[in-house]
Amino acid sequence: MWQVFLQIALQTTLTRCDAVLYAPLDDGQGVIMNIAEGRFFSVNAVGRRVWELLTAPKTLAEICAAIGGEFAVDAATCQAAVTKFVSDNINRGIVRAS
Amino acid sequence: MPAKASRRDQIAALEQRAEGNPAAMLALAPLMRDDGQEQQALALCRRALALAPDDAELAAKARFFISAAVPDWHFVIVKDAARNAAYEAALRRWVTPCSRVLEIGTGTGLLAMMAARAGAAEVITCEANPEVARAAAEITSLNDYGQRVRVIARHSDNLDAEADMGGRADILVSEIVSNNLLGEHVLPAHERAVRDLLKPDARVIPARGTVRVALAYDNQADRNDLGTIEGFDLSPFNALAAAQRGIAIGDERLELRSEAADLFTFDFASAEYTPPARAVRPCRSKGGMVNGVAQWIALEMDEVTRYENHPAAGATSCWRAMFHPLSQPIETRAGQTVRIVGSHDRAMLTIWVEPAKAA
Repeated sequence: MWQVFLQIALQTTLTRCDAVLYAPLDDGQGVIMNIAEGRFFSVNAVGRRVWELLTAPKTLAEICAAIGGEFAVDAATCQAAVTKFVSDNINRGIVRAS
Repeated sequence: MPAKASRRDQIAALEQRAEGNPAAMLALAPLMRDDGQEQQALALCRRALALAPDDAELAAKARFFISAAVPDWHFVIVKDAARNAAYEAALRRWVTPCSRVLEIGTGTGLLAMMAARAGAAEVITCEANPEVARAAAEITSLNDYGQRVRVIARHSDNLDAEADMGGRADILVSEIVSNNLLGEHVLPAHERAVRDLLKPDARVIPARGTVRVALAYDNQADRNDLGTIEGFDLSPFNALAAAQRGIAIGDERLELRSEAADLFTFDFASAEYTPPARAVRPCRSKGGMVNGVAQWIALEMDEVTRYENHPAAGATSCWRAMFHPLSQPIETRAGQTVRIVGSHDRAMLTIWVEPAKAA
């Protein structure tokens, strides 16, 4: 699979793709499955929270603000981590950027 | 903090969320199968189909998944007329109107229906693959044996004589032997069945099975070998070639270069544990090049009927002969003794030739 390197700006709107299944786990993590591809990925507590925030489309800035407020992390680290998470999931076909 | 979720926990969590979404259920089924939950995966697939019976794409994908769980040999073994005749002859000799027959490994249901046709009062047949069991139940009903043949979709290890069978059986019939005789775990299945599911004087069909061997020459032994390709020598890759290969018993490429010898014989009517074993069989060569050992099987249905897939030009059988290539071919003279060695671990069979001693 080609890795797509995207320039994701703070104003990029992020949306969950349709054919995706998500399940939270008792250990605080979660699993997300790309139904069309039949693969699933586990996400940690931060990733799980990002995924839950994407119940409705949001900009990267909105997600970073929410995560920064909920987890003890500085803004630069937060933005880098969320951008990485979002990029990975765009490449996995489970998040769409517009 | 709860323990970190295992892969199985993750799949279970997804399954809960997938319920009611046929596409998601079907996508999850292979993941469950690959996690060792094949029966649950097939059940999930069936539930998905039931939710969308008119969805052609779903049906096509489900068929792909379900058929992958069914070995191709089910379509081959029942067309072996000699095999069928051997089983039917033995069943007709031993089945009485009072007989309660247990079959292990239903497959299409053919042997179970033969037992019913021979007059058995009741036939209980078990099948670990739920899709195969489903088809067998449909087949027995289609052929009007649905009342006397009961298909239980379960491995025989999980059968209870009283709860599932209504008492121990008088006759056990099975055909769970592979090309090497043991690969379908006939030994543990029969030992357990004889011990826990049969009456003490029960008849077992087949009663015995034998692994037979002979020195052999495969005149196409090197047809898959790699040599120089596109100017590169790829020959070291030949060390990774399969340690044995199946050859149709009637294929003229295979020539036996000694008389046949019995390598191992197993009593399928015994409840006693058969331990892994090793055996050496000196074989007198008929002369000529020997580049492997041919192995095949013989089944003694009872004291009268025997089935053997002895390799011979033009012969046919649902079972293939297994050819075990030697690392180095041997040019033999007539009468020269070559010692064939075999070992089994109750499922896998390994065969080789003892190196000749220096003169």
